[in-house]
Amino acid sequence: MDQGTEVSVGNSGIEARLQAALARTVQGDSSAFALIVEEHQAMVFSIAYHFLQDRSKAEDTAQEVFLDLYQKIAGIESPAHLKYWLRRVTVHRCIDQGRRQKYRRETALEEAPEPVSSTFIADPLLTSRLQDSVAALPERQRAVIILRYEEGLGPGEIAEVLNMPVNTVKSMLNRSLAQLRKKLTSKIGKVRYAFF
Amino acid sequence: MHFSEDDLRTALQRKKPSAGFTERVMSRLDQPRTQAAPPTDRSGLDEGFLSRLWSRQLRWASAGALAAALLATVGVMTYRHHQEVERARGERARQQVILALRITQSKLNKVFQHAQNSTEHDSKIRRNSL
Repeated sequence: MDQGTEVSVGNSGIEARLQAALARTVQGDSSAFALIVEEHQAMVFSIAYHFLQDRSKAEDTAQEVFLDLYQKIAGIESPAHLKYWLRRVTVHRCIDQGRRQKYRRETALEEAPEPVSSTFIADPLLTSRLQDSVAALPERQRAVIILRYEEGLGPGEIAEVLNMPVNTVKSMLNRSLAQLRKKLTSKIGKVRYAFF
Repeated sequence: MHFSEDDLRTALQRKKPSAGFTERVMSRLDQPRTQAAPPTDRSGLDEGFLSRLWSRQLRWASAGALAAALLATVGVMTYRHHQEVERARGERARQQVILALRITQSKLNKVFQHAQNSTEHDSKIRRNSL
């Protein structure tokens, strides 16, 4: 069995388990809900963390999302619907919270939560600046960038989650990237790097 | 400064919550709101989002009603002021007419008096010549 087949078998295995967990939770089996939380906590927490740039607020938000989910689980039809629901509710809660608070980085770099998987080591200063700059974007633009580059969603999927026209999502993406470049240039412009 | 999409993906890569997150969520399920709700909204829409939308509409409707009430009040006050101005103008005109009539009456009295004096004088002259 090659790697591609293994992955797809693995995915369908997880999907089947999640479908079963959904059905058991509706029947009142709260332990089945634990599997759902375990499977999706990183996704929900990450969206909240990158949006709010505050670990404890992100955890609170993530907990509230799962508690909401438990109340409304009977309306969730499939694992794909579940993912869509979680992303949508998390983003909207974050947008509301973002409007109530001014952006302020609460987490020192050394306290930042552990990544799910380590990829190549990028410039840590650039990473930090990018995170700051994304967190300083207006709420809806921030949501678009996070859904695109953290969740890997396409413009159509982002439009569904945020209830926006697709063209609006595309223009917001372009505008946000331009703003990020401008921010980074003005922040780092006077600092000379050996790289460029 | 240039950054690639990969740089952005790295900056925004998924993070784990702190250990024990699932247990914390499950322990909150045991608190009063633990029962899964019966099937109602199958669209999976967030009720909080809908209620926020509705309260936003309510806010706009309230603002509209308040603006309409303010406009109505300003309109009534303007109308009353206009009425007062018209009333004052009418009163002034009335006074002017009365004054004109008085002046006319006074002049007519003088003319009448003069005419009467002339008639008496003529009668005296006719009686003396007889």
